[in-house]
Amino acid sequence: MDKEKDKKGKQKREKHIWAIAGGKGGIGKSFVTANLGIALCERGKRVIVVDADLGAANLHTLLGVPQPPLSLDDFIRRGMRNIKAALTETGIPNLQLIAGVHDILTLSNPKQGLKQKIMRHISSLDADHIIVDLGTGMSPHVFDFFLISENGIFLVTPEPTSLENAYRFIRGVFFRRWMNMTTNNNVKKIIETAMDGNNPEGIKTPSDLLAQVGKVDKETATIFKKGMSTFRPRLIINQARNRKEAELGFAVRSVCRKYFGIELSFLGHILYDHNVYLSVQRGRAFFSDYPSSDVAECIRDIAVRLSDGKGLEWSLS
Amino acid sequence: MVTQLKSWREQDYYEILEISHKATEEEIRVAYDKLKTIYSSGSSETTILFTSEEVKEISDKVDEAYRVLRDPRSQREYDLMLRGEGDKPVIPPPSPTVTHRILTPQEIKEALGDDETHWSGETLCAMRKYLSLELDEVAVETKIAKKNLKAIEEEDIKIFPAPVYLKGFLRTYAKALGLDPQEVAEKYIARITWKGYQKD
Repeated sequence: MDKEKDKKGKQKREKHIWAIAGGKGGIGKSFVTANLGIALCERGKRVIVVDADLGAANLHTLLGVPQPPLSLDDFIRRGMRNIKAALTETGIPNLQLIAGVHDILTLSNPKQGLKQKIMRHISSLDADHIIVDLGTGMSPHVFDFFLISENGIFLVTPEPTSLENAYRFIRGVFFRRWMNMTTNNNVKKIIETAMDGNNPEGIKTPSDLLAQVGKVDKETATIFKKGMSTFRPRLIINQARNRKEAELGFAVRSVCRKYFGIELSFLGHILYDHNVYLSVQRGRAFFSDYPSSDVAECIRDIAVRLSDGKGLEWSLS
Repeated sequence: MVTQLKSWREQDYYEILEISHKATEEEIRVAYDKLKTIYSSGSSETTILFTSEEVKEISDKVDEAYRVLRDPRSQREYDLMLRGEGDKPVIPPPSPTVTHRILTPQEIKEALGDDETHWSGETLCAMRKYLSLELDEVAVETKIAKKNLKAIEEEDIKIFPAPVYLKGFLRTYAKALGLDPQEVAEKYIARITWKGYQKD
Protein backbone atom coordinates (compact mmCIF):
# COMPACT_ATOMS: atom_id res chain seq x y z
CA MET A 1 0.00 0.00 0.00
CA ASP A 2 2.71 2.41 1.06
CA LYS A 3 4.75 1.44 -1.90
CA GLU A 4 1.91 2.23 -4.26
CA LYS A 5 1.45 5.60 -2.68
CA ASP A 6 5.11 6.23 -3.09
CA LYS A 7 4.96 5.37 -6.72
CA LYS A 8 2.03 7.66 -7.29
CA GLY A 9 3.80 10.48 -5.50
CA LYS A 10 6.79 10.03 -7.71
CA GLN A 11 4.74 10.11 -10.86
CA LYS A 12 2.99 13.23 -9.75
CA ARG A 13 6.26 15.01 -9.15
CA GLU A 14 6.76 17.63 -11.81
CA LYS A 15 9.91 17.73 -13.83
CA HIS A 16 11.17 20.96 -15.38
CA ILE A 17 13.69 21.25 -18.14
CA TRP A 18 15.32 24.61 -18.63
CA ALA A 19 17.61 25.54 -21.49
CA ILE A 20 19.96 28.45 -20.90
CA ALA A 21 20.92 30.41 -24.00
CA GLY A 22 22.13 33.82 -25.10
CA GLY A 23 23.31 35.04 -28.44
CA LYS A 24 26.64 36.31 -27.27
CA GLY A 25 29.61 34.46 -25.78
CA GLY A 26 31.03 35.26 -22.38
CA ILE A 27 27.80 36.52 -20.86
CA GLY A 28 27.68 33.89 -18.14
CA LYS A 29 25.53 31.02 -19.44
CA SER A 30 27.60 28.34 -17.74
CA PHE A 31 27.93 30.40 -14.59
CA VAL A 32 24.17 30.83 -14.34
CA THR A 33 23.51 27.16 -15.16
CA ALA A 34 25.86 25.94 -12.44
CA ASN A 35 24.79 28.32 -9.71
CA LEU A 36 21.09 28.27 -10.47
CA GLY A 37 21.45 24.51 -10.12
CA ILE A 38 22.99 24.92 -6.68
CA ALA A 39 20.34 27.45 -5.64
CA LEU A 40 17.57 25.01 -6.59
CA CYS A 41 19.34 22.26 -4.58
CA GLU A 42 19.29 24.57 -1.56
CA ARG A 43 15.52 24.57 -1.92
CA GLY A 44 15.49 20.82 -1.57
CA LYS A 45 15.20 20.02 -5.27
CA ARG A 46 17.07 17.29 -7.09
CA VAL A 47 18.89 18.90 -9.96
CA ILE A 48 20.90 17.76 -12.97
CA VAL A 49 22.93 20.25 -14.99
CA VAL A 50 23.85 19.30 -18.54
CA ASP A 51 26.62 20.83 -20.58
CA ALA A 52 25.25 20.90 -24.12
CA ASP A 53 27.66 23.52 -25.34
CA LEU A 54 28.83 21.38 -28.22
CA GLY A 55 31.85 23.52 -28.92
CA ALA A 56 33.40 24.74 -25.72
CA ALA A 57 32.26 22.79 -22.70
CA ASN A 58 33.31 24.03 -19.28
CA LEU A 59 30.41 23.56 -16.92
CA HIS A 60 32.36 21.16 -14.72
CA THR A 61 34.98 23.87 -14.03
CA LEU A 62 32.27 26.21 -12.77
CA LEU A 63 31.12 23.53 -10.34
CA GLY A 64 34.67 23.01 -9.13
CA VAL A 65 34.97 19.43 -10.33
CA PRO A 66 37.68 17.94 -12.56
CA GLN A 67 36.80 16.84 -16.10
CA PRO A 68 34.61 13.75 -15.59
CA PRO A 69 35.75 10.56 -17.34
CA LEU A 70 32.40 10.14 -19.11
CA SER A 71 30.48 12.85 -20.91
CA LEU A 72 27.80 13.63 -23.46
CA ASP A 73 30.43 12.76 -26.03
CA ASP A 74 30.36 9.09 -25.00
CA PHE A 75 26.64 9.10 -25.61
CA ILE A 76 26.82 10.91 -28.92
CA ARG A 77 29.78 9.17 -30.53
CA ARG A 78 30.96 6.22 -28.49
CA GLY A 79 27.86 4.15 -28.30
CA MET A 80 26.88 4.74 -24.69
CA ARG A 81 23.40 3.20 -24.53
CA ASN A 82 21.84 5.48 -21.97
CA ILE A 83 22.79 9.01 -21.07
CA LYS A 84 22.38 8.09 -17.40
CA ALA A 85 25.79 6.45 -17.47
CA ALA A 86 27.38 9.86 -17.96
CA LEU A 87 25.89 11.28 -14.73
CA THR A 88 28.62 12.53 -12.43
CA GLU A 89 28.35 13.52 -8.77
CA THR A 90 29.43 17.10 -8.09
CA GLY A 91 30.07 16.88 -4.36
CA ILE A 92 27.07 19.13 -3.85
CA PRO A 93 24.16 17.12 -2.40
CA ASN A 94 21.40 16.42 -4.95
CA LEU A 95 23.32 18.02 -7.81
CA GLN A 96 24.55 15.86 -10.66
CA LEU A 97 26.32 16.82 -13.84
CA ILE A 98 26.55 15.57 -17.38
CA ALA A 99 29.75 16.99 -18.77
CA GLY A 100 30.07 18.28 -22.29
CA VAL A 101 31.97 17.58 -25.44
CA HIS A 102 35.35 19.13 -26.04
CA ASP A 103 36.79 20.57 -29.21
CA ILE A 104 34.69 18.72 -31.72
CA LEU A 105 33.73 21.35 -34.20
CA THR A 106 32.07 18.91 -36.53
CA LEU A 107 29.60 18.16 -33.82
CA SER A 108 28.50 21.68 -33.20
CA ASN A 109 25.78 21.21 -35.78
CA PRO A 110 24.22 17.80 -35.15
CA LYS A 111 21.48 16.24 -37.27
CA GLN A 112 17.84 16.71 -36.27
CA GLY A 113 17.46 13.03 -35.37
CA LEU A 114 20.45 13.14 -33.06
CA LYS A 115 19.21 16.32 -31.42
CA GLN A 116 15.84 14.68 -30.74
CA LYS A 117 17.60 11.66 -29.29
CA ILE A 118 19.83 13.75 -27.02
CA MET A 119 16.86 15.75 -25.83
CA ARG A 120 14.73 12.65 -25.29
CA HIS A 121 17.40 11.08 -23.14
CA ILE A 122 17.96 14.29 -21.22
CA SER A 123 14.22 14.58 -20.51
CA SER A 124 14.10 11.01 -19.25
CA LEU A 125 16.63 11.75 -16.49
CA ASP A 126 15.27 11.54 -12.97
CA ALA A 127 15.31 14.99 -11.32
CA ASP A 128 13.06 17.88 -10.34
CA HIS A 129 14.96 20.35 -12.46
CA ILE A 130 17.23 19.71 -15.41
CA ILE A 131 19.18 22.73 -16.58
CA VAL A 132 20.80 22.53 -19.99
CA ASP A 133 23.61 24.91 -20.81
CA LEU A 134 23.36 25.65 -24.53
CA GLY A 135 26.25 26.96 -26.49
CA THR A 136 26.84 30.40 -27.83
CA GLY A 137 25.52 31.49 -31.14
CA MET A 138 22.50 31.66 -33.39
CA SER A 139 22.81 28.32 -35.13
CA PRO A 140 19.71 26.26 -35.86
CA HIS A 141 20.85 23.59 -33.41
CA VAL A 142 20.89 26.06 -30.51
CA PHE A 143 17.41 27.23 -31.54
CA ASP A 144 16.25 23.63 -31.68
CA PHE A 145 17.53 22.71 -28.23
CA PHE A 146 15.99 25.92 -26.92
CA LEU A 147 12.66 24.90 -28.45
CA ILE A 148 12.71 21.22 -27.59
CA SER A 149 13.14 22.05 -23.91
CA GLU A 150 9.97 24.23 -24.11
CA ASN A 151 11.36 26.30 -21.24
CA GLY A 152 14.04 28.43 -22.77
CA ILE A 153 15.77 31.05 -20.68
CA PHE A 154 17.98 33.57 -22.35
CA LEU A 155 20.59 35.71 -20.79
CA VAL A 156 21.32 39.32 -21.59
CA THR A 157 24.06 41.55 -20.25
CA PRO A 158 23.55 45.32 -20.23
CA GLU A 159 25.47 46.13 -23.39
CA PRO A 160 24.06 47.18 -26.78
CA THR A 161 25.81 44.24 -28.49
CA SER A 162 24.26 41.75 -26.12
CA LEU A 163 20.85 43.36 -26.56
CA GLU A 164 21.14 43.27 -30.31
CA ASN A 165 21.99 39.59 -30.14
CA ALA A 166 19.12 38.95 -27.78
CA TYR A 167 16.55 40.43 -30.14
CA ARG A 168 18.07 38.57 -33.05
CA PHE A 169 17.98 35.38 -31.02
CA ILE A 170 14.33 35.79 -30.10
CA ARG A 171 13.37 36.42 -33.70
CA GLY A 172 15.49 33.51 -34.90
CA VAL A 173 14.18 31.04 -32.38
CA PHE A 174 10.62 32.07 -33.07
CA PHE A 175 10.93 31.69 -36.80
CA ARG A 176 12.70 28.37 -36.30
CA ARG A 177 9.79 27.20 -34.20
CA TRP A 178 7.40 27.82 -37.05
CA MET A 179 9.80 26.21 -39.46
CA ASN A 180 9.64 23.00 -37.42
CA MET A 181 5.85 23.15 -37.29
CA THR A 182 5.20 22.98 -41.02
CA THR A 183 5.88 20.62 -43.89
CA ASN A 184 4.64 22.97 -46.59
CA ASN A 185 7.70 23.81 -48.67
CA ASN A 186 6.32 27.15 -49.82
CA VAL A 187 5.83 28.19 -46.23
CA LYS A 188 9.31 26.95 -45.35
CA LYS A 189 10.70 29.09 -48.13
CA ILE A 190 9.00 32.21 -46.81
CA ILE A 191 10.34 31.54 -43.33
CA GLU A 192 13.81 31.03 -44.73
CA THR A 193 13.60 34.40 -46.44
CA ALA A 194 12.44 35.98 -43.20
CA MET A 195 15.39 34.52 -41.27
CA ASP A 196 17.58 37.06 -43.00
CA GLY A 197 16.95 40.24 -41.06
CA ASN A 198 17.45 42.40 -44.16
CA ASN A 199 15.21 40.37 -46.45
CA PRO A 200 13.84 42.20 -49.49
CA GLU A 201 10.25 41.32 -48.55
CA GLY A 202 10.58 43.51 -45.46
CA ILE A 203 9.48 40.71 -43.13
CA LYS A 204 10.65 41.72 -39.70
CA THR A 205 8.22 40.65 -37.04
CA PRO A 206 6.29 37.41 -36.49
CA SER A 207 3.14 39.31 -37.41
CA ASP A 208 4.69 40.32 -40.78
CA LEU A 209 5.66 36.72 -41.40
CA LEU A 210 2.27 35.43 -40.41
CA ALA A 211 0.65 37.76 -42.95
CA GLN A 212 2.92 36.40 -45.69
CA VAL A 213 2.30 32.80 -44.68
CA GLY A 214 -1.44 33.45 -44.62
CA LYS A 215 -1.27 34.42 -48.28
CA VAL A 216 -0.01 30.99 -49.39
CA ASP A 217 -1.43 28.71 -46.71
CA LYS A 218 -4.24 29.95 -44.47
CA GLU A 219 -4.46 26.76 -42.46
CA THR A 220 -0.81 26.82 -41.49
CA ALA A 221 -1.09 30.46 -40.49
CA THR A 222 -3.95 29.54 -38.15
CA ILE A 223 -1.93 26.70 -36.64
CA PHE A 224 0.98 29.06 -36.11
CA LYS A 225 -1.19 31.55 -34.35
CA LYS A 226 -2.82 28.96 -32.14
CA GLY A 227 0.52 27.64 -30.93
CA MET A 228 1.43 31.00 -29.45
CA SER A 229 0.43 30.47 -25.84
CA THR A 230 2.96 27.69 -25.28
CA PHE A 231 5.85 29.85 -26.38
CA ARG A 232 7.03 31.92 -23.47
CA PRO A 233 10.76 32.42 -23.32
CA ARG A 234 12.23 33.74 -20.10
CA LEU A 235 14.80 36.40 -19.53
CA ILE A 236 17.56 37.00 -17.00
CA ILE A 237 19.72 40.13 -16.93
CA ASN A 238 23.25 39.14 -15.95
CA GLN A 239 26.09 41.36 -14.73
CA ALA A 240 23.93 44.34 -13.84
CA ARG A 241 26.00 47.04 -12.18
CA ASN A 242 23.10 49.02 -10.77
CA ARG A 243 19.35 49.16 -10.49
CA LYS A 244 18.98 50.91 -13.80
CA GLU A 245 20.80 48.12 -15.61
CA ALA A 246 18.76 45.52 -13.76
CA GLU A 247 15.56 47.23 -14.91
CA LEU A 248 16.66 46.72 -18.49
CA GLY A 249 14.74 43.46 -18.23
CA PHE A 250 11.46 45.40 -18.19
CA ALA A 251 12.51 47.32 -21.29
CA VAL A 252 13.49 44.18 -23.22
CA ARG A 253 10.23 42.53 -22.17
CA SER A 254 8.23 45.56 -23.28
CA VAL A 255 10.00 45.78 -26.63
CA CYS A 256 9.37 42.07 -27.23
CA ARG A 257 5.68 42.54 -26.46
CA LYS A 258 5.33 45.64 -28.59
CA TYR A 259 7.57 44.78 -31.51
CA PHE A 260 7.28 41.01 -31.85
CA GLY A 261 3.99 40.58 -30.04
CA ILE A 262 5.70 37.84 -28.04
CA GLU A 263 5.16 37.36 -24.34
CA LEU A 264 8.39 37.19 -22.41
CA SER A 265 8.75 36.46 -18.73
CA PHE A 266 11.38 38.45 -16.81
CA LEU A 267 12.87 36.27 -14.06
CA GLY A 268 15.19 38.84 -12.53
CA HIS A 269 18.74 40.09 -12.56
CA ILE A 270 22.13 39.03 -11.27
CA LEU A 271 24.45 41.74 -10.07
CA TYR A 272 27.95 42.20 -11.39
CA ASP A 273 30.62 41.05 -8.95
CA HIS A 274 34.34 40.77 -9.56
CA ASN A 275 34.41 37.76 -7.22
CA VAL A 276 32.55 35.81 -9.88
CA TYR A 277 35.55 36.21 -12.13
CA LEU A 278 37.90 35.25 -9.29
CA SER A 279 36.00 32.10 -8.40
CA VAL A 280 35.93 31.05 -12.06
CA GLN A 281 39.68 31.63 -12.23
CA ARG A 282 40.21 29.49 -9.15
CA GLY A 283 38.05 26.74 -10.62
CA ARG A 284 35.61 26.88 -7.73
CA ALA A 285 31.85 26.91 -7.56
CA PHE A 286 30.82 30.49 -6.78
CA PHE A 287 28.09 29.43 -4.37
CA SER A 288 30.53 27.45 -2.24
CA ASP A 289 32.87 30.43 -1.84
CA TYR A 290 30.34 33.25 -1.56
CA PRO A 291 27.09 31.77 -0.27
CA SER A 292 25.92 35.01 1.34
CA SER A 293 26.91 37.42 -1.43
CA ASP A 294 24.42 39.70 -3.21
CA VAL A 295 24.98 37.67 -6.36
CA ALA A 296 23.96 34.47 -4.56
CA GLU A 297 20.85 36.25 -3.28
CA CYS A 298 19.93 37.35 -6.80
CA ILE A 299 20.28 33.78 -8.03
CA ARG A 300 18.18 32.48 -5.15
CA ASP A 301 15.41 34.94 -6.07
CA ILE A 302 15.49 33.64 -9.63
CA ALA A 303 15.37 30.05 -8.37
CA VAL A 304 12.21 30.88 -6.40
CA ARG A 305 10.57 32.38 -9.49
CA LEU A 306 11.55 29.34 -11.54
CA SER A 307 9.99 27.02 -8.95
CA ASP A 308 6.82 29.12 -8.74
CA GLY A 309 6.62 29.56 -12.49
CA LYS A 310 6.10 33.29 -12.08
CA GLY A 311 8.02 36.14 -13.61
CA LEU A 312 8.27 39.68 -12.26
CA GLU A 313 5.49 42.19 -12.78
CA TRP A 314 6.75 45.77 -12.86
CA SER A 315 9.06 45.86 -9.88
CA LEU A 316 12.41 44.18 -9.24
CA SER A 317 11.38 42.45 -6.03
CA MET B 1 -0.92 38.85 -20.25
CA VAL B 2 -0.77 37.25 -23.66
CA THR B 3 0.13 39.54 -26.52
CA GLN B 4 -0.83 37.13 -29.32
CA LEU B 5 1.46 38.37 -32.06
CA LYS B 6 -0.09 41.81 -32.28
CA SER B 7 2.28 44.65 -32.91
CA TRP B 8 1.87 47.74 -30.74
CA ARG B 9 -0.12 49.45 -33.48
CA GLU B 10 -2.90 46.87 -33.08
CA GLN B 11 -2.77 46.53 -29.31
CA ASP B 12 -5.54 47.75 -27.04
CA TYR B 13 -4.91 50.07 -24.10
CA TYR B 14 -4.36 47.21 -21.67
CA GLU B 15 -1.80 45.61 -23.95
CA ILE B 16 -0.14 48.97 -24.50
CA LEU B 17 0.20 49.45 -20.73
CA GLU B 18 1.11 45.75 -20.35
CA ILE B 19 -1.39 45.18 -17.57
CA SER B 20 -4.25 42.78 -17.02
CA HIS B 21 -7.87 43.86 -17.21
CA LYS B 22 -8.05 43.49 -13.44
CA ALA B 23 -5.13 45.83 -12.72
CA THR B 24 -5.60 48.14 -9.75
CA GLU B 25 -5.20 51.90 -9.93
CA GLU B 26 -1.75 51.56 -8.38
CA GLU B 27 -0.68 48.86 -10.86
CA ILE B 28 -1.84 51.01 -13.75
CA ARG B 29 0.17 53.95 -12.43
CA VAL B 30 3.34 51.87 -11.88
CA ALA B 31 3.16 50.35 -15.37
CA TYR B 32 2.65 53.81 -16.85
CA ASP B 33 5.65 55.22 -14.97
CA LYS B 34 7.93 52.40 -16.07
CA LEU B 35 6.82 52.50 -19.69
CA LYS B 36 7.24 56.25 -19.91
CA THR B 37 10.76 55.87 -18.57
CA ILE B 38 11.52 53.09 -21.06
CA TYR B 39 10.17 54.98 -24.07
CA SER B 40 11.64 58.35 -23.23
CA SER B 41 15.22 57.27 -22.55
CA GLY B 42 16.13 56.98 -26.21
CA SER B 43 18.68 54.28 -25.40
CA SER B 44 19.55 51.18 -27.36
CA GLU B 45 17.07 48.77 -25.76
CA THR B 46 14.29 50.53 -27.65
CA THR B 47 16.12 52.01 -30.63
CA ILE B 48 17.67 48.74 -31.82
CA LEU B 49 14.25 47.69 -33.12
CA PHE B 50 12.21 50.91 -33.20
CA THR B 51 12.94 54.14 -35.02
CA SER B 52 12.94 57.26 -32.87
CA GLU B 53 9.62 58.30 -34.45
CA GLU B 54 8.10 54.99 -33.43
CA VAL B 55 9.42 55.38 -29.91
CA LYS B 56 7.71 58.77 -29.72
CA GLU B 57 4.48 57.30 -31.10
CA ILE B 58 4.56 54.51 -28.53
CA SER B 59 5.20 57.01 -25.79
CA ASP B 60 2.16 59.03 -26.90
CA LYS B 61 0.05 55.89 -27.11
CA VAL B 62 1.08 55.01 -23.54
CA ASP B 63 -0.11 58.48 -22.44
CA GLU B 64 -3.40 58.00 -24.25
CA ALA B 65 -3.95 54.56 -22.72
CA TYR B 66 -3.15 55.87 -19.25
CA ARG B 67 -5.56 58.77 -19.57
CA VAL B 68 -8.40 56.42 -20.42
CA LEU B 69 -7.64 53.65 -17.94
CA ARG B 70 -6.75 55.74 -14.88
CA ASP B 71 -10.24 57.20 -14.74
CA PRO B 72 -12.75 54.53 -13.66
CA ARG B 73 -15.49 56.10 -15.72
CA SER B 74 -13.65 56.23 -19.03
CA GLN B 75 -12.18 52.82 -18.24
CA ARG B 76 -15.67 51.38 -17.92
CA GLU B 77 -16.71 52.91 -21.20
CA TYR B 78 -13.60 51.55 -22.83
CA ASP B 79 -14.23 48.05 -21.46
CA LEU B 80 -17.74 48.15 -22.89
CA MET B 81 -16.32 49.16 -26.21
CA LEU B 82 -13.80 46.30 -26.15
CA ARG B 83 -16.62 43.85 -25.51
CA GLY B 84 -18.52 45.38 -28.38
CA GLU B 85 -21.26 46.65 -26.08
CA GLY B 86 -20.48 50.32 -26.10
CA ASP B 87 -22.69 52.64 -28.11
CA LYS B 88 -19.76 54.76 -29.25
CA PRO B 89 -17.15 53.11 -31.46
CA VAL B 90 -14.18 55.01 -30.08
CA ILE B 91 -13.93 56.70 -26.73
CA PRO B 92 -12.22 60.03 -26.99
CA PRO B 93 -9.65 60.15 -24.21
CA PRO B 94 -10.43 62.75 -21.57
CA SER B 95 -8.18 65.76 -21.49
CA PRO B 96 -4.82 65.08 -19.90
CA THR B 97 -4.38 65.76 -16.24
CA VAL B 98 -1.45 66.32 -13.98
CA THR B 99 1.43 63.95 -14.48
CA HIS B 100 2.07 61.45 -11.71
CA ARG B 101 5.67 60.69 -12.33
CA ILE B 102 9.06 62.33 -12.32
CA LEU B 103 10.03 63.64 -15.73
CA THR B 104 13.39 62.57 -17.12
CA PRO B 105 16.09 65.16 -17.80
CA GLN B 106 15.63 64.43 -21.52
CA GLU B 107 11.97 65.36 -21.37
CA ILE B 108 12.73 68.58 -19.52
CA LYS B 109 15.35 69.42 -22.06
CA GLU B 110 12.94 68.66 -24.87
CA ALA B 111 10.41 71.02 -23.35
CA LEU B 112 12.72 73.87 -22.51
CA GLY B 113 15.74 73.60 -24.75
CA ASP B 114 18.82 74.91 -22.98
CA ASP B 115 16.82 76.87 -20.46
CA GLU B 116 16.10 73.87 -18.31
CA THR B 117 17.81 74.90 -15.10
CA HIS B 118 16.40 78.42 -14.90
CA TRP B 119 13.23 77.78 -13.02
CA SER B 120 11.09 80.84 -13.52
CA GLY B 121 7.48 81.70 -14.20
CA GLU B 122 8.20 81.38 -17.86
CA THR B 123 9.84 77.93 -17.73
CA LEU B 124 7.15 76.55 -15.43
CA CYS B 125 4.54 77.78 -17.86
CA ALA B 126 6.47 76.16 -20.74
CA MET B 127 6.63 72.86 -18.84
CA ARG B 128 2.91 72.98 -18.22
CA LYS B 129 2.23 73.58 -21.90
CA TYR B 130 4.64 70.82 -22.86
CA LEU B 131 2.51 68.46 -20.77
CA SER B 132 -0.65 69.87 -22.42
CA LEU B 133 -2.08 70.92 -19.09
CA GLU B 134 -4.57 73.72 -18.50
CA LEU B 135 -4.28 75.91 -15.41
CA ASP B 136 -7.74 74.76 -14.36
CA GLU B 137 -6.65 71.16 -14.36
CA VAL B 138 -3.57 71.91 -12.32
CA ALA B 139 -5.69 73.94 -9.92
CA VAL B 140 -8.04 71.00 -9.37
CA GLU B 141 -5.22 68.53 -8.91
CA THR B 142 -3.02 70.71 -6.66
CA LYS B 143 -5.81 72.49 -4.82
CA ILE B 144 -3.97 75.76 -5.45
CA ALA B 145 -6.23 78.60 -6.64
CA LYS B 146 -5.91 79.34 -10.33
CA LYS B 147 -5.04 82.97 -9.63
CA ASN B 148 -2.11 81.89 -7.49
CA LEU B 149 -0.80 79.55 -10.20
CA LYS B 150 -1.16 82.38 -12.66
CA ALA B 151 0.74 84.70 -10.34
CA ILE B 152 3.57 82.15 -10.13
CA GLU B 153 3.79 81.94 -13.91
CA GLU B 154 3.66 85.70 -14.28
CA GLU B 155 6.02 86.17 -11.37
CA ASP B 156 3.50 88.50 -9.82
CA ILE B 157 4.51 87.50 -6.34
CA LYS B 158 3.32 90.48 -4.44
CA ILE B 159 -0.07 88.82 -4.23
CA PHE B 160 1.32 86.21 -1.81
CA PRO B 161 0.93 87.26 1.80
CA ALA B 162 4.26 85.73 2.87
CA PRO B 163 7.23 84.02 1.18
CA VAL B 164 6.41 80.77 2.90
CA TYR B 165 3.18 80.54 0.89
CA LEU B 166 5.03 81.04 -2.33
CA LYS B 167 7.51 78.33 -1.44
CA GLY B 168 4.76 75.87 -0.59
CA PHE B 169 2.85 76.61 -3.80
CA LEU B 170 6.00 76.29 -5.86
CA ARG B 171 6.79 72.89 -4.39
CA THR B 172 3.29 71.57 -4.99
CA TYR B 173 3.14 72.97 -8.51
CA ALA B 174 6.59 71.55 -9.36
CA LYS B 175 5.55 68.14 -8.08
CA ALA B 176 2.40 68.22 -10.19
CA LEU B 177 4.55 68.89 -13.24
CA GLY B 178 6.82 65.96 -12.43
CA LEU B 179 9.71 68.21 -11.42
CA ASP B 180 11.96 68.22 -8.38
CA PRO B 181 10.04 70.39 -5.84
CA GLN B 182 13.10 71.39 -3.82
CA GLU B 183 15.13 72.44 -6.82
CA VAL B 184 12.32 74.38 -8.49
CA ALA B 185 11.38 76.26 -5.32
CA GLU B 186 14.97 77.19 -4.54
CA LYS B 187 15.91 78.31 -8.01
CA TYR B 188 12.69 80.20 -8.57
CA ILE B 189 12.99 82.08 -5.30
CA ALA B 190 16.70 82.75 -5.78
CA ARG B 191 15.96 84.27 -9.16
CA ILE B 192 13.07 86.33 -7.89
CA THR B 193 15.19 87.62 -5.01
CA TRP B 194 17.88 88.58 -7.41
CA LYS B 195 15.29 90.47 -9.43
CA GLY B 196 14.63 92.64 -6.41
CA TYR B 197 11.92 90.75 -4.61
CA GLN B 198 12.28 91.31 -0.89
CA LYS B 199 12.07 88.24 1.27
CA ASP B 200 10.45 90.13 4.15
